[in-house]
Amino acid sequence: MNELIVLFGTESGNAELVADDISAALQEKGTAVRVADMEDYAVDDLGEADMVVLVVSTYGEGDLPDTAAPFHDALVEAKPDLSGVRFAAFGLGDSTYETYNLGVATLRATFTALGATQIGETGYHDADSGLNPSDVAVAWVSTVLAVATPS
Amino acid sequence: MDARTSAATVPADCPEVTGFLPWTDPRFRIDPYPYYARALAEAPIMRDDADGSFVLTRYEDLMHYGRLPSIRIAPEWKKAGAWRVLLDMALGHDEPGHTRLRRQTSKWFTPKRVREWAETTAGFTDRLLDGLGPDGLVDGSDLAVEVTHRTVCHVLDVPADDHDGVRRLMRQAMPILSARPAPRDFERAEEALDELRRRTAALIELKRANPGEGLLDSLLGAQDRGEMSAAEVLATTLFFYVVGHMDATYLICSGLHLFTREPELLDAFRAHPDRHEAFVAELARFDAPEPVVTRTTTEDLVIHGVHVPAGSSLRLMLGAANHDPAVFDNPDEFDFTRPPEQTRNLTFSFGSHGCQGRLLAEAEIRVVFERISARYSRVELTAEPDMRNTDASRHYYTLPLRLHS
Ligand SMILES: Cc1cc2nc3c(=O)[nH]c(=O)nc-3n(C[C@H](O)[C@H](O)[C@H](O)COP(=O)(O)O)c2cc1C
Repeated sequence: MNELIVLFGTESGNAELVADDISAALQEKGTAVRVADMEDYAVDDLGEADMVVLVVSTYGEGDLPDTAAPFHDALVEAKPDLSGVRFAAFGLGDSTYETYNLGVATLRATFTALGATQIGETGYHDADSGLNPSDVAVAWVSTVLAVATPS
Repeated sequence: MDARTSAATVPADCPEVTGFLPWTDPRFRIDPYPYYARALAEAPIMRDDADGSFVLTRYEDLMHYGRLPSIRIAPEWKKAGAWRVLLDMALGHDEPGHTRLRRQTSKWFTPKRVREWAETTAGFTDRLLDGLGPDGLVDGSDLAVEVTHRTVCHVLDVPADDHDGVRRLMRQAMPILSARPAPRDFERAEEALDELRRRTAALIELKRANPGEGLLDSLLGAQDRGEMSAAEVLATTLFFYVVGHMDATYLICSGLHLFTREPELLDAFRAHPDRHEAFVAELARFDAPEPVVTRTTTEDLVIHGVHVPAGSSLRLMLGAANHDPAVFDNPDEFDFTRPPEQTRNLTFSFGSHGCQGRLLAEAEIRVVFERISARYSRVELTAEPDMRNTDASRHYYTLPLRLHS
C-alpha cells in the first residue's frame, strides 16, 4: 500500500486520540500513515490516498460531531465520485443512547452512496463498556488491514 | 417479589426515604454506604414527604430513568437558590441549548489537552512538595486545593492567587444542595455566589484588558462573535473557576486518607504504573464527592410499580448506584483490579450532562499520587481529619498528614 489517511471527526477529543493511536500502531508495522482532522480536510482530496480510515464519534442526539458535520455536508453537496476510494470506519459512541453510534453510520452510508468501497466490518467503541477506546480501535484496525492486504 | 411484575395488581410499596437514608443523621453523612446498601436491597424507589420528590438508588434505574428524553435538568437549577446562576451555562440547560453551550468549552478538555494540563499539575505539585519542611507535615486538603485550583486557572488563563478564598466561598455555597438545607444555608449561598460573581466579573475585566490564549479568551471570542451572551460567559467562567478544585480535591484527599489506612496501597500504586488510571477510577467509584443529582419528570412514570406524576423531582443517588451489587462484586471494597465492566462509575454523572472536567480531574488526581508516591515512602495521618459532609456533598476541611521520605 501507498499511503493511508486516518480522518477523524471529534467533539471532545476521543476520536482524535484514537486516530493518533491507530496511526502510531500502523507506523510501527511500517505502514505510511497520515492523520487529518475532517475539519481541515477538503473532500476533493479524498482520491489521493490508497485507503481512508474514518474515525468519528456521535454527539447531540445522534448527530455527527461539530468538526465532522461540515465535511459531511460538503460530501452531500459536492457529490464527488468516490468509486476509487476504499475506506474503513470506526465509531465512538455510548450504548446508553438510543442513537448509539449513528454518526459513523451516517458517514459510512454517504461514502458508500458516493461509490466508495468499505473494507472490513465497522468498528465500534462503546463508552459504557469501560474499555479504552484506543485499545479497541488498534485491535480493530489490524483485522481490517488483514482484509485489505491479503498475504 | 418483583415490584415490576406485581405493579398491575398490587399498589407497590413506596417507603418514606428517611427510614432508609436519614439525610441529616451525622452517621449517614459520614458513611452513607451501609444505608445505601439497605435501600438498594429493599427499597428501589422511595418518596420524600418533605418535598414530594422520589429517590432512586439502583444503577440500572439511574441509567434508564435519568436518561429518558422527557427528563429535564433546568427546573431543578431554578429551585437551587443561588445556584440558579447555572441556568446560564451548559449544566443548567436541556437540549438544544445544552449542546450549544457545552461545545464552547469541549475542546479545552480533550484527552490531548488534558495531557498538557496534567504536566502543569505535576509542576505545581512538585513545587509545593519542594516547599515542605523536613518534618514532611502538610495538610492534604490544602495541597490538593492549591494544585487543582492553579491548574484550572491555568486552563482559563486567569490569576490563581486565591484558592483559599474560593474554597471558603464554596464551603458556604454547597450545603444548599442538600435534601434538607437549613434556612440560613440559602442566605449564605446567596452571599457566597454574589461574591463569586463579583470576582468572576473582575477576572473578565482583567482578561479584556490583558488578552491571552486561555479558555476565558475563547469564551470572550465567542461572545464577540455573537455565539454566547455576556451572562453565559460569566456563568460558564464562574462555574469552571469555582468547581475546578472541589471534587478533585475531595478525591485526592480520599485517596491520601486511604493510603494512611492501607499503606500497602501506596506501594501497589507505585509498583503498577499501568494501573494508575484504574486506581483513580476505582477511587471515584468508591466514594463520590457529590453523591446525588436531581432531575424533573415531564410525563407520568411508573417506576417499580409506583406512580410518579409529571413534574416530580427525582433524586438519583449516584453514590448508591456506584455500590450496586448487581453491577459491582463486593461493592464496598476498594479494588483497583476490577474488570473493565466494573470500572464504570456514575461519580461524574452520566449521559449528556456528564462532567466535562472528568478527564482533567482524573489526571490531576493521578498526577498528585504519582508525585507523592515517587518522592515518599509512606503517608501518615497525624490527627483525625475534619470532614463536613451533607447528603449531597462531601468535603474535607482538614487532612493533617506527614509524608515520610
Ligand atoms: C452531549 C453528548 C451527546 C452524545 N450523544 C451520543 C449519541 O447520540 N449517540 C452515541 O452513541 N453517543 C453519544 N455520546 C457519547 C460520545 O459519542 C462518546 O462519549 C464518544 O467517546 C465521544 O467521542 P469524541 O470525544 O471523539 O467526540 C454523546 C456524548 C455527549 C457528551
